[in-house]
Amino acid sequence: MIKKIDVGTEFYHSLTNRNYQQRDGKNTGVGFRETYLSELDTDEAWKDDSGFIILDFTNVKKMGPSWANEVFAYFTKYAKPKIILKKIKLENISRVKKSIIQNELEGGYSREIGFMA
Amino acid sequence: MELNQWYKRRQLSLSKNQKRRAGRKRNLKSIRKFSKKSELSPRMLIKKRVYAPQKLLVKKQTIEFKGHFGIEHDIDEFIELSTKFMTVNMRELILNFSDCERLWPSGLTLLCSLSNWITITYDKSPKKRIPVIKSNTPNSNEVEEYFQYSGFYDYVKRDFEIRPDKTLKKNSIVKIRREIKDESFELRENEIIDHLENFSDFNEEQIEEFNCIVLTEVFNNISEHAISIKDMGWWSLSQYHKKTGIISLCIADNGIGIKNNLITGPQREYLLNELSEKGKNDGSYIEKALKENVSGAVKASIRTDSFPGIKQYERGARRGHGLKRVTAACKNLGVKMTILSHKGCVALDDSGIMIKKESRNQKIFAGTMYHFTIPANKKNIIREEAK
Repeated sequence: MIKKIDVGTEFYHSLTNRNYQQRDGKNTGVGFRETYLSELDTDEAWKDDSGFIILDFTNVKKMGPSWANEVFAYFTKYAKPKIILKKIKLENISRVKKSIIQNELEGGYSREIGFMA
Repeated sequence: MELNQWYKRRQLSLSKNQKRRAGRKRNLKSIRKFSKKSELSPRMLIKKRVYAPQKLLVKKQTIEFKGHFGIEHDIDEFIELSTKFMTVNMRELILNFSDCERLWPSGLTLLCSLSNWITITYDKSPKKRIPVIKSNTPNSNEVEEYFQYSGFYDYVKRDFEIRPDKTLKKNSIVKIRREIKDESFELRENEIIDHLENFSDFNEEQIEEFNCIVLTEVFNNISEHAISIKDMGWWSLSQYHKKTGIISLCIADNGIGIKNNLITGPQREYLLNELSEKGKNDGSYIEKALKENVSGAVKASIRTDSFPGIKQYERGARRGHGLKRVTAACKNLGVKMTILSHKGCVALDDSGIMIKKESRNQKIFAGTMYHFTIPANKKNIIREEAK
């Protein structure tokens, strides 16, 4: 059975931060991906395009491109945008938020360079 | 007589005590270079013992604000005037508002930046020579009321005589405040959105687009790239102008600027192939940031030859499409956008076409300011018809 997440309630209603470096560093795209989508972070998970999770955006007031890029565009290294949206289904999402996700998928992931320790 | 010869003769002619007071031998090459910026001859600089740009050369300078001051009115005049005082090299700066007829939000934001920047720059200097900024009370009641009710006097901690608010309508302004807490981002965003809902021409979907893309990315930029260890702060001001039918929104910080941000990140090599690090090109760097995915995150490679223990890339590692997305959203919404960052300025019209790209020798703005002109005509017409 496909998991369903009420993003606004179970995570946060304002989805703006890519990672800890932005704003208060909380409720980040990285955090969301690692909490709910970590199973998709392998090649095997993308061998088929069956649905994995449904994200319900009813209670999400705001979503920024940086957050969407980190959550969705991250997986463009495994699959094309159409397949990603088959695996991660979106429900009750406004036209604006949907187009933000679409743009980020088509634009690709802003690759992390990281730092030399 | 050549400068070298003159300097040698001068050194020989000084007594022991005079030599001690004159200080160490000076590098004439750097004095010549500094002389071009300071408009004093090298000999005058040596005689006055002024060798460094940080020294305050001019005792007093008065800046006249005549007519209107703001990007909203005339961007060229605004830039011209701001370059006269943003690089503060005087002991006393007097801002004369006697003949100022109107101060627009962008002008007010600039003045707040100046006040903030002087505090950061000079407060930690060894001799604490902080330039004094004075201003007079404007002759225009409108301008004086605006200073009061926009929050400017509170921001710069200036005493004032309270006047009744006759010209500014309630709720037509989101006051200027210095913000340092992370929680403030969401609060201010909500205030700005309420303001747009009340006065702008935007429908619900357009407000959502502006909120999700423009406000989110701009505030993300400020939190990630602009707030430095030195200055943990930013400010915003939003005002509805009934006569011109616009909302003027300014969001600003006193960070290191877009150019310095870009040349310290992993995209440095990529950018320096196209733009030089030195020289008058701040405007070109802003243009790059708007048009391309300048993080170089796509093109930059993982380096292995950096110094161990130094976080070489962390600051710039996550730059991406932000400003490009903001530009596209503004074009879609018919919003004019202007970015001022240190010595550069870029302005886009409501169709997203670049109408101005400028780089100056002097600072136009201490940090970075994002200015948006949002249409606010229709609701005004509907209200008047309803009357």
